[in-house]
Amino acid sequence: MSAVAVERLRKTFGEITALDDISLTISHGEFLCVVGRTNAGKSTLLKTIAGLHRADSGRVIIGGRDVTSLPPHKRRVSMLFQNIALFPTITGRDNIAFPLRTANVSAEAIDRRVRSIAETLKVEHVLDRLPRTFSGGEQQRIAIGRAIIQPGDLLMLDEPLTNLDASIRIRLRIEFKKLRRELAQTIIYVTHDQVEAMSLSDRVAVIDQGRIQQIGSPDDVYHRPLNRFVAEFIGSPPMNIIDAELGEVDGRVSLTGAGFSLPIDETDGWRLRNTKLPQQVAFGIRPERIIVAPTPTNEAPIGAEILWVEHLGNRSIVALRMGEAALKAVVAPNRPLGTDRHVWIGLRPDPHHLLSRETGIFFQLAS
Amino acid sequence: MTAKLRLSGISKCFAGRDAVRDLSLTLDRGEFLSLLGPSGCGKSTTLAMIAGFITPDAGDILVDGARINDLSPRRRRVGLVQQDYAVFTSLTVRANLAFGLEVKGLGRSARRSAVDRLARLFDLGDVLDRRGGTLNMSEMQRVALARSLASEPELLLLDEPMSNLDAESRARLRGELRQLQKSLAQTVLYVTHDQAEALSMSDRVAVMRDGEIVQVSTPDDIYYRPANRFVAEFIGDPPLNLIPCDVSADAARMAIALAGGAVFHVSAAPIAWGRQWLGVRPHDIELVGEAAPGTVPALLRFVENFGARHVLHAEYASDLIRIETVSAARSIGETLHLRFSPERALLIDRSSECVVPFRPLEAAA
Repeated sequence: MSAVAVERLRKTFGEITALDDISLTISHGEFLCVVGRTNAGKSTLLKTIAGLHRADSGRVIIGGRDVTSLPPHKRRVSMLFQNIALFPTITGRDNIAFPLRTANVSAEAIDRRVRSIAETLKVEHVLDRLPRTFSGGEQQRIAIGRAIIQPGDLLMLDEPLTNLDASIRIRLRIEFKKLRRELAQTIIYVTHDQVEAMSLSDRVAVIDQGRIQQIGSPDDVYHRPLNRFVAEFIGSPPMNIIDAELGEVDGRVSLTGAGFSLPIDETDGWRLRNTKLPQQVAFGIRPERIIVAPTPTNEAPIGAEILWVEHLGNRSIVALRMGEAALKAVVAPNRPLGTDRHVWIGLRPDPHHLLSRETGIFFQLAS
Repeated sequence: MTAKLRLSGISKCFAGRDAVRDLSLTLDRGEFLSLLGPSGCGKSTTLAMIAGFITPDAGDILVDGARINDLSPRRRRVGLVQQDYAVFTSLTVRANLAFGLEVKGLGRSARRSAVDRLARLFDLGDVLDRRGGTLNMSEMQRVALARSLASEPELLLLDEPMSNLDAESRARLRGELRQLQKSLAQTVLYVTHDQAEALSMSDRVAVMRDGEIVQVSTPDDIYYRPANRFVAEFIGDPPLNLIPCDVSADAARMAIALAGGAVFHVSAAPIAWGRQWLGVRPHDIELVGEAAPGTVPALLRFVENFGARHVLHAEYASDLIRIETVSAARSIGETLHLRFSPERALLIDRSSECVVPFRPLEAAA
């Protein structure tokens, strides 16, 4: 039995359909990230599961109980929002302990529980201080402590890192990842940042326009995207999508377009021949799969122009123009590209990354 | 005309606390400089003093050599864009762009041609007649930038202009904003807490902490040659590894020994013998197939999978070390064999927290 099941959930606000027939299940102890753009429906989904919104139709089942018509406090879920609201006049300790004070729990048991959580979250040093003396990261961790002190059937986090400085966000993401292994909790985590989603999740649910576009492991959504939205949303810079014509050149299956002709390997070519595909297609290529060289080579035979380069330290993003197509490539840091704007590039398209220009859906190949 | 900016010893104190302390900085004509630092480091206060919203307690603000401390904000020829953009939501894009020009007293036809030019430049032609409230974030940002440039400022000040955008738009707009700045040769002072923005867009980066500039240099220097521990740890995603090491004398040279048996021989460096730190970027650690001289073992605890790259978190020297790699096929609990290379490592003095330069004499022994 799954820990959480959402069945055919619909929610509209006037003319706007926020959730359009959403179904998903989450296993016990699973960490699921819901990722998408602003207004994709992510927070509405979370709030509908928590009972803060009433669904127009569909069911929410948590821990085997149909909670669709239960009020929020009877659903045994805890929730942490983007704007952390700690009680300003009580200490870190009392903030964490708050949910237990109203329950019938002995002072000694509360103390033991707070101590253990504070140790896990590394906030022992701020337990006796007031929230205004906390750093952003400390506030965040105290708020997490409060959300997990009374373990429910489900913990939901709505963009918990979004309002923090980038450097704290990076460190807390890693802390979360560590912490997650110590909490035997079923977790739904909402974010607009695919880096967080990829890092933290067992599975990622990519959502757009109130619909789930794909649910899968980080590897699934990255390497086997179902449609163009997922391909472009997951990964930074996004997957390059280029229009091409699928046909035979000198007896080999090839993708051709303005200024390029890319032969496909024999085995893959055979599979493409055995799949009914249109002639006019598009193909996707991940930026790190593009080879960039200062001189023409067998691996990099196509002329291209560098538009600009972004150095990020651990890698550099190169914006390129190849014929009519604009591309982004990722190269190792400080790799000499020459001073010339003119470079040579190599593309080896993955046959699984062919998609329909009209529908944006990736083709499934014959095996 | 885009200008040169010089800050000379400016300070600002709020309620007994120094927000900015004796800060000096020069921006060349057409330069893109980022003020990078954590919340509360004084970067926005510095910007507000240049814009004229806050009066410095001491020091001079000079634009092309002329002191502007006593000019009112509206008489300073400075464009400012903040987080919230302040685009008028009930006015059309055209009216938003014309707003600054009207204030300047420009005639109707001159206004119209200036608006058309800005719309072309910022690719806003299609939305000129839409109201501000109907724009998406990227359009909103372009309107705010275009409007700030409409009055042809000598200096453009940007205060975290992307922090309200989602991660996807931020990554896309970085490159576009930089190209635009270059084509206009506009002097820009850009305030951010995001090291990726600062590294990727700037000619130079000034890292700030507690009201002071810690280091000003090119993005490359900031990343590879940080001045101290703070800069080294603030920059980089995933963050730098700080590994305890033992420095000792070794004939005419020095030896840096790491837990697990790796030793580097280096030229004499100005650092005390004993326990110090070695700073190593996660992508500068090599994974070796099996134990070999110079490698150290580490136990893989968990993996962050980003698709194109993986960050391995492994137990080493009683802490977790981060290793960035492209290949993934490893299992939790497996022993990894790591090789550090002294070429890119940073030697950090534990007491002063300064980065100490050294020269490796040979590969790991």
